[in-house]
Amino acid sequence: MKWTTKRRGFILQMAAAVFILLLMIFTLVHLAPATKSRLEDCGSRIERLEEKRVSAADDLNELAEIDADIQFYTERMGMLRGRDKIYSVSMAFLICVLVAGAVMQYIKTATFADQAESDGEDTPGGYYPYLGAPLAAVCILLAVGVSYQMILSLELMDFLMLAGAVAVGLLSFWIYRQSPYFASKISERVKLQGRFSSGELLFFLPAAGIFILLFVTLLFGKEINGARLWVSLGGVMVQPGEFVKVLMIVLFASSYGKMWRAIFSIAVGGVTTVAFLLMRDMGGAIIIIAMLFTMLFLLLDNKMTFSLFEHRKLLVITLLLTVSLFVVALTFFPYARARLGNVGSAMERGGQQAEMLKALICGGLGGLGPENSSYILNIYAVESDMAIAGITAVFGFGMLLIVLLCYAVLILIPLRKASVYRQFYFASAQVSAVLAVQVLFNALGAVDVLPFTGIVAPFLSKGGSALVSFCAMAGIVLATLHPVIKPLEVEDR
Amino acid sequence: MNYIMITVGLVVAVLLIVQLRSEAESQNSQIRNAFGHLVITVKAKEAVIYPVVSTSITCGRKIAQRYDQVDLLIATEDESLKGAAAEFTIEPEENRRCIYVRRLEQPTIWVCSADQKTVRCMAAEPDQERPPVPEAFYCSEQQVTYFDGKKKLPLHIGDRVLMGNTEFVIDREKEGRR
Repeated sequence: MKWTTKRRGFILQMAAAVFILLLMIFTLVHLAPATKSRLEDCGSRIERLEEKRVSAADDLNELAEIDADIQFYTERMGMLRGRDKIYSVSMAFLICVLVAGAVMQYIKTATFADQAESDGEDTPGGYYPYLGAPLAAVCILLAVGVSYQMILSLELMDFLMLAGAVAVGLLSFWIYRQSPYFASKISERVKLQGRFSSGELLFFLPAAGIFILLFVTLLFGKEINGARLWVSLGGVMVQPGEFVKVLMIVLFASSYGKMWRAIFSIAVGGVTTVAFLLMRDMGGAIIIIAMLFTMLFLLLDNKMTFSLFEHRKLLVITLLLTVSLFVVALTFFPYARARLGNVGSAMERGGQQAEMLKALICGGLGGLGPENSSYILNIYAVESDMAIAGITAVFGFGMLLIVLLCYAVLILIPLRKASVYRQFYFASAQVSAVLAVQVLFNALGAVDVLPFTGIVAPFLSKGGSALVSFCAMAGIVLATLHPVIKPLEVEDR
Repeated sequence: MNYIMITVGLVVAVLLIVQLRSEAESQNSQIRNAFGHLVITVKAKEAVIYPVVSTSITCGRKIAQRYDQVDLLIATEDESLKGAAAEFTIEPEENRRCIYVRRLEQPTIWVCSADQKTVRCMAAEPDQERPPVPEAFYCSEQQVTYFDGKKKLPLHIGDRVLMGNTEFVIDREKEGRR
């Protein structure tokens, strides 16, 4: 038997499926003891608080505080007792969603290969879209994220939200994956008689979408923890800023080839950065700035070489811009200065980063394990802004390595895989930039190496909006890898 | 259990990186093959295997400081072609696959459009000497442009290229597609 790439890809997908299944079984087996140990933890905390209550009978303020704490832990115990029943149902549901997603992708890949062969004239035959590695990476990351969230979550609502986000994410993944195909089919059939061509629509609609989302957030946004990021949509809290990133990628990609469009999209990027800073979302602003730099780099790098050494001037300009941006941020935004000033002193200051470092040390190479994760649970934002560090603390450093290698696969794609079309190269390079920045800031921010900015980890953190938008980004990358799909506004000479 | 799971996961993760590399190579070669249906056919009456014109196809995105090159030898026994006369390259440019011709040792190269209305000439020193349009390409009301011999000229499907006494037609390959 010959070891073709296609065959190896199939074996890889099977191996990935085995790993995901092992992970699910591992989580499921350890959930009941985890719940038990957490109940014991809550009980001992309540006992200690009640002892404290007796001794602090004189101070009214302290009494009120202690009462609030006791109520908090009693409620948590109630949630913990209720959660065993819902586990089997939601777990089965989640496994179904993941398996369905994988099967759907596999079938779709196969259909695409057939499509390519039967399409005839414009599609040189024999194409097979090689998507095994990125698909497996996305599935593994989603599975790790789901297991981690299952260990941390307490309420049924959390589970349902998570399951819903995974389902919607997979759907948007699929839609984005197909979108260039849909777009080319639609533009073939429907001749747009109006003033805009389909390529122009693909440029103007995202721009309009970005402005509407930013406007809605600034106007109707709800302030939580000092940042105005959330909009309530029929009871569900949505973070429109996450969708802005996806629209930004589409905008940048479709601005290729026309100078005025490039300038306009960079201006939109600038406005978005300012809007994020007004919402006090420093993480979002950092990501948009990273995208702007990527865009500048791509615009100046005409020969598609993506080599820093061939563009020394570009490197100098980028470095100067970065430094000047840092100076501006530190001069005009005191909270940015405070965050940067705090780097490296987490242990002295105490707080969430110090707690996380302690958890990592206690966990050691093998991790704390789900049974002992009640310590982790009490760290603030451990399910979102500290997801990578939290996963390391629970599952050990081996899991950190797996997660980072999966990210590396997704980030390396535009450097390794050729896309003939520049628009597509723009899009996948932007996705890489976003993923790289998010992973770096999430992993290193939590352990006090970079400023802690509240950036979530792609596919791992809790937060439906982010999960949906990251699935969409993965879909964009997969769409760009397809050799038969063409962007709009392209003619073969 | 934990260690089994982590070991399997690490093996999968290493396989992932290997797979990305191998997929990247397979996909790049697919894209290289996609350029193959743009071929140059030689219009010479008695062609024998006698490689005169050195051609090379450059395609795919430049990855890690290296172009993927494919050499095609074109057979002709035209003795008026000098040495490595010219080079045809196919490059991805601005979203298109563009075919170019570059003059090497041949003194003049003529390019005529399919409708014969525009004729382009590449000569070693076009400012000093402007050779007349060859008979095969001549028609009334045509536009002739002279180019510096160091440039590479973009070609279109249907263009005819004259070097020495040999005429090349730029055409899409009709057969041989899988």
